[in-house]
Amino acid sequence: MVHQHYEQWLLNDERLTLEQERDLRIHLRSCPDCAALARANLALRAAPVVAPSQGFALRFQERLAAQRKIQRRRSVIGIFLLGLAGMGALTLVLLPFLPYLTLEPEQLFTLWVSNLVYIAIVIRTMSAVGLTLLNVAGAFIPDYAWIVALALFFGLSFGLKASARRVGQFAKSAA
Amino acid sequence: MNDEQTWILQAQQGNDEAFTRLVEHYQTPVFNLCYRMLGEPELAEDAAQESFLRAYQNLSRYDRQRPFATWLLSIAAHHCIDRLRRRRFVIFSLDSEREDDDRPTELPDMDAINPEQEAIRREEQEGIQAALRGLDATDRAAIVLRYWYDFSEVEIAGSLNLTVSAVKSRLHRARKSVARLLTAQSPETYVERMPYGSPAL
Repeated sequence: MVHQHYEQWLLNDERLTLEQERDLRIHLRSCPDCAALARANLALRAAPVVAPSQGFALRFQERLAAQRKIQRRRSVIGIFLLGLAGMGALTLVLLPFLPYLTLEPEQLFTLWVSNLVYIAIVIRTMSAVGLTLLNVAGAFIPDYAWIVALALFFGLSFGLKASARRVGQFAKSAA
Repeated sequence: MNDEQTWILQAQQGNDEAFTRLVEHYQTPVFNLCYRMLGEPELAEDAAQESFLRAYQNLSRYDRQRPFATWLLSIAAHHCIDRLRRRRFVIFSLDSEREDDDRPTELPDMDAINPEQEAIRREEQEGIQAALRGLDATDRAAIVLRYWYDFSEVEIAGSLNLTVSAVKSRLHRARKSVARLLTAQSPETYVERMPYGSPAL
């Protein structure tokens, strides 16, 4: 039998029959590489288990307590920083409204009414401008362009709906 | 349900005393793994403590279908591999200093039954540690799990997140390397003898 065969037995740590063991022993006498492998296997198997010094569990408990203390301190600092950040954000949001606190109730009411009127005027103006633009565009854009645009719009919505249905079916089959 | 399963269940429910029992039960295998991986008792103590701490913090994620020892040793092995990778350059420099024979030598215990044999045994142990130091971190973990804990190749693969074929090739390479290193240290010291016997677990 060739050297590699014996080497594989040793490297694979295989269980050998009595006959195989005898063959291996004969080979080991003449092969320094395999003998070194066999010696290494034995030396590793013979190495004892090393135990820690007394009081390991007690030292672990101390370490766990110290770790908990650090975590508690970290979470307190985290909550403090989060609160601080929240206060800062709230101040930033409320900052534009702070001047209103100094106003009289009548002044405040007048201000609110004028703001509402302003918003209503803006909406009305924008809708008027939009309608005018649509009228102007209607005069310039030919009819067939509207038909093409509408067809594209309906085509796209149909495509989207079909793909959504297919995705739903795929998800159902995967589940 | 055996004692260990009861302790695990209680520890998962927040019982520190139950976890302490697990620490007491597994302190030797975890410490031995860390010692074989890192080579220094002080480093091994720190790594073993850290491994138990990580196990404690991740106990809720432990799957009770899996053996606790395998899970715990896997945490310790990964922790040691990380440490070795982080400290690689430092270890190289320390190793080169060791070659100058700076290290304090352990004297044989003269009160022991056979001081000469004790000295030989210590020398052999130092030789094995030196051979382990010569291996790559993952190869070292594979060898330690195989020889001290009797892990199968499948268990080693599961513990170290490797494929079974990768474990096989790593074990082959590591065995050859250990054989070469031990022969280089002392060609005649490692005579055939019976192993001490029981694995760490």
